[in-house]
Amino acid sequence: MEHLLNIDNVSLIYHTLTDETLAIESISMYADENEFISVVGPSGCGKTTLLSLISGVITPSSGKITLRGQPISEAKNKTGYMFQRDHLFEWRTVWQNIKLGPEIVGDKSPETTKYLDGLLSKYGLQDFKHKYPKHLSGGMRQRVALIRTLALRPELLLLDEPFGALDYQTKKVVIQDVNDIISREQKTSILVTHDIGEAASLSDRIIVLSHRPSVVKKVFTSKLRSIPLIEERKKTREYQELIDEIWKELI
Amino acid sequence: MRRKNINYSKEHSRFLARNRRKKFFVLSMQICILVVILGLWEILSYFNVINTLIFSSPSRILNTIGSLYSSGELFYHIGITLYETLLGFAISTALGLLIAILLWWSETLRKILDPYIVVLNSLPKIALGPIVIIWFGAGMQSIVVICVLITIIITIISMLNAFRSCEQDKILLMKSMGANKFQILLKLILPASVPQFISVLKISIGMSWVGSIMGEYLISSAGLGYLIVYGSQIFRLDLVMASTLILCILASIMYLIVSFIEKLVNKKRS
Repeated sequence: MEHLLNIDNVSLIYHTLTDETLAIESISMYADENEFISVVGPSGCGKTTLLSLISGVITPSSGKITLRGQPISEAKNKTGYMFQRDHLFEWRTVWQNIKLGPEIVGDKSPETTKYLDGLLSKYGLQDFKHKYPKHLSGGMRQRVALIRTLALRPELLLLDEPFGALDYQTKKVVIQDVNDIISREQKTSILVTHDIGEAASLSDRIIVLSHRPSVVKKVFTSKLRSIPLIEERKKTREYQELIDEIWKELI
Repeated sequence: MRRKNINYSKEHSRFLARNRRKKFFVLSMQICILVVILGLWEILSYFNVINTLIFSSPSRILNTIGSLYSSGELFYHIGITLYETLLGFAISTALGLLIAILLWWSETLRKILDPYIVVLNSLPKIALGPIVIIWFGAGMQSIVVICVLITIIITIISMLNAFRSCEQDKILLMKSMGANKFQILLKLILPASVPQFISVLKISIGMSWVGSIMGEYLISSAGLGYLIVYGSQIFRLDLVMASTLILCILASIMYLIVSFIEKLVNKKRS
């Protein structure tokens, strides 16, 4: 069976004037349709670099990344990025922010407008359509950021620690929101995080990377996604065992 | 949101009253200082304690402004200086912004031109005055060129810094959506730099006044700078002081206009 995303023996070497650094060494992994994958690993191991490689923003030194069999460099707008900070453009309204992607690719179709309008309504942001980001709460801002990422209908979502900058209360709400939106929109997602609790509660598979140069150390699978509420997932024995096993791999 | 017609607690009413008193005190002191200085100046000159030929006096300055007005010269000279300043300001802002965009666009170009910008920035631009006059002639063109020379470097350096300080993640976000460099410039870099641009306007409007007045000092037959030089040459301090006063008022008005625009922009964003 062909996977949606295939990362085959990918390495990346950074060149500086004084040295060259092997950041990623022969990583191979895959992602299937509607799968939620988390990538965890020690700080500075190259998790974010891996996402940049998957998005096609940087090119690997060797190896191959394909999305539906197509080289990632040719798969324009098939991946959507979400960061630790929402990076909403303060000078644009909520509507203008989520229209950024379609604007860039020149998509003015009524279908897209309808699709975005639908997303705003579905996720409780319709009343804030013409407000500026300064009028939104932290949770709402992240929801807008996710809808902006979904606007181009990407096949793969890349989530770079999207909950890292949120306070405890907001984080709980946003994690549930993001989980629900991704499940309902049936998006394949790769989450990079240093929080193994987030990884264990959200994912179908958890990939543990080693220290730099990072290689895939271990892959864990989980069935917790069948439980709708994140907080309920956290109360299960499987969750606790998963956390313990991931932790053992990290230390 | 401002709350009106609300019954505040006694403590809050006292806080508001204290705040109003403080504001009133600051304003009264500002006016007092001005009145005392002008009053003292006028009294000392009236009783010949200070020489009015050297120090002039507020009443003589007002009379000079009045006579300039009645002879029709006042707005002529103001118009000339204002024209040179605004033209120099507009050219340096537009050209400075364009050069900053080019330097942001090409990392290589920025590296090539970096030493030249550093030298131009540290050079006292007025030293180029004689060369400018020879190249552009003894007229208004030279004054505008001097004005541009004095103002443009600060615009280039400040705007380039603003462009380069844009968050990399935002650029990455746009790239992941398939944006090209022109789209990144138009939809991210330029709008994100608007607050810094207005700060630069505040600085460059002041620099433009310096440029036009310095230019008029070097070569001119009209304008407020010319009146100041002319007044000092014929020892008419009334004229020098009157022109300086008008200059102060005009520069303040322009600064206030830019500050007002800044407030409007900040109100929308913050």
